[in-house]
Amino acid sequence: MKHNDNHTFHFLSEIAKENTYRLLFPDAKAGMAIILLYEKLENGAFPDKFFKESDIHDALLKVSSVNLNNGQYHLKEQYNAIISDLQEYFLRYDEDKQQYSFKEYAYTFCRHAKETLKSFFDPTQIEVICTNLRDKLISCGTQEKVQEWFDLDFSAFKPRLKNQLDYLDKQIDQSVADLRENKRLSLQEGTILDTLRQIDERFEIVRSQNKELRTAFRATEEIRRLLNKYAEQYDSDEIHKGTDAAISFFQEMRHVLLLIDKRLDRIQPRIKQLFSNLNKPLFNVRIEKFLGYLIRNSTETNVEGRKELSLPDGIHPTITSHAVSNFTIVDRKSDLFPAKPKKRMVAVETPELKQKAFATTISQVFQQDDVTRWLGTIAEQLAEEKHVDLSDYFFRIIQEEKGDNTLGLAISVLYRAIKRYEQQQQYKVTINPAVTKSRQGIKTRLWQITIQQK
Amino acid sequence: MADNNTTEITPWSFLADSGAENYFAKVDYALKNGRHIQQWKEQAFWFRFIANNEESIKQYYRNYFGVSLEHGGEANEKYYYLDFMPDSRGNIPVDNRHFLQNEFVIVGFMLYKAIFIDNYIELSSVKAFQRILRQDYEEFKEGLFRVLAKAKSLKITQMTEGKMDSTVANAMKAFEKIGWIELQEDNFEVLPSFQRLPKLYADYINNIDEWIKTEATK
Repeated sequence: MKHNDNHTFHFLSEIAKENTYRLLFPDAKAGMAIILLYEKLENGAFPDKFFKESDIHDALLKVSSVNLNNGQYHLKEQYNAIISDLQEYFLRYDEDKQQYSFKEYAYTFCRHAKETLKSFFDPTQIEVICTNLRDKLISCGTQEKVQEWFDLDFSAFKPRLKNQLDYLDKQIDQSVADLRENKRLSLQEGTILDTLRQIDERFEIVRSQNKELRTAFRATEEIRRLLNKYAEQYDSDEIHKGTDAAISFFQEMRHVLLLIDKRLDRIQPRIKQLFSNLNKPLFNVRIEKFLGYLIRNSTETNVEGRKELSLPDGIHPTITSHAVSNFTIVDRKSDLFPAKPKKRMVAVETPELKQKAFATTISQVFQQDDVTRWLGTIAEQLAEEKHVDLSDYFFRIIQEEKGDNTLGLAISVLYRAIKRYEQQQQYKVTINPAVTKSRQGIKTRLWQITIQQK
Repeated sequence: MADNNTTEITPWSFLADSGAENYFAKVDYALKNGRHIQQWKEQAFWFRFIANNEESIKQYYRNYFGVSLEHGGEANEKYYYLDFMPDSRGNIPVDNRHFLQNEFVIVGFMLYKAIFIDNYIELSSVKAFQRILRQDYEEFKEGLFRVLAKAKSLKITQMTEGKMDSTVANAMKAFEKIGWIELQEDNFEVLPSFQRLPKLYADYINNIDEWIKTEATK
């Protein structure tokens, strides 16, 4: 079933329009009257499901007199306005019959509220629904039928099952709240024992209901299998999506059942403990007094710069244990001996490798020659001009020399020159960071380095 | 005179128990660490070992360590522990004695009150307990913040709340160590031996009215 997504529906802005919200959720008086009529419809007071305007008036009167308590307070005008509003979503007026009936929204509105309040528990109902769901799914012969099962049957079942689980959870909540409430009321009257007993029994009931629900749930296992089968059979995105959603829904519900069980597991032993605590209300009162005394009279003291709390004078501290010595384990490491053999590297000599190694060595030797030659040139210039700009040499070497390591050569030359002339007193080597030298086509830049004969 | 049909109980006869080999070392460490042993999960085996040899083990600790193996609770709620007897001259050096922090005593009583007196029976989350302490006990609030967060000012701040929470969390860890509760991250379960706390202070608790009288005359 493809939905037309071109037109997106904005619930919030839609309901915010004019009176829409008020018309969907009428005020208490109108709403109560509708519910009164609903109950009458359910009870068969209107066999053909039609009622007269006077019935609505009666209903309105009845619900207002409940609140106003002044009998005949009745404004026809006002009632007509209410009825006209209700006609939007709740009431349909049949002009031929001159009678009213409920629109579907009115039924849903009342039914939903009723079911929420009523909290019924009926695992048999769930069982019947599960079995029906399964049978229907079995009889699905086409992809369309399976899709229909998702859209109609399954989606109707989901809220009903959830309601049942909510109901169980609510029962526990209610019991726990009752217990706390009752404790306060009945301490004097001594009825807490009865309350506890009742609550303990109620928990037993919830537990058995939980179990029943799980039994009722058995058919879902088969539904899951069928769904997987269909998902394989019909290669459709919609079916796959539906199957995934249904399976995770069942998983989630199973999880909730488990949680309810766990919750009971946790609470029930405590109820038992409360039983044993009951015969000492006096002791409990004293405990509370003692606690108050401790809180009021404990004082802070400074112990070696740390703030520590001291109990009131005369109350001894609690010793809980004495430190048990820790063993220092002297362990013979089992992985040390015998030593594990290490893999030996065997160097394989090949003529290629040999040649490569030789070439590297040779080029290093040749570079030494080049360095010496350049140092000679620098020395000559220095003797003649008493001044050499090493930075210029750096770029000259890179430009004039051939080979793949001219930069390395240039660096070596400069390094050796600086080192040589720095050691001699008659020369002065100056590195001037203020002047940066560079040459076109060479990425490297360097500060000006000069050698001056004194 | 020992009956011929019964074995004489000595401070070492428990060692002849078939479970001694498996359990005694563990039980010994646990007890000396201050742990309370009850019928709870794997502790149940230890519990049974002690229960089967109670008299002999009792003698062993009394004769050699000067501490007393005691029990509290009845039937399913029974638990064993070593009483270190603060005033005794037992064989345990003072330096080796570990004291439960005084703040923790107060946290313990608050936990007792919440669950057993005020019926927060579903309370099983440390976070929830912290929240209850911060919010629900109006009558104790100021005092609690003073003793648990060491807050001087009466104005409660985020920092003092954090401090109080961490004191509570540490107390819960300490209770777990001595076997009063079982703690798994945020979840805890109060075990039968938690009843040891009011028992420990029973003599004060029973005479609390006297204490309060002296408080009033101060």
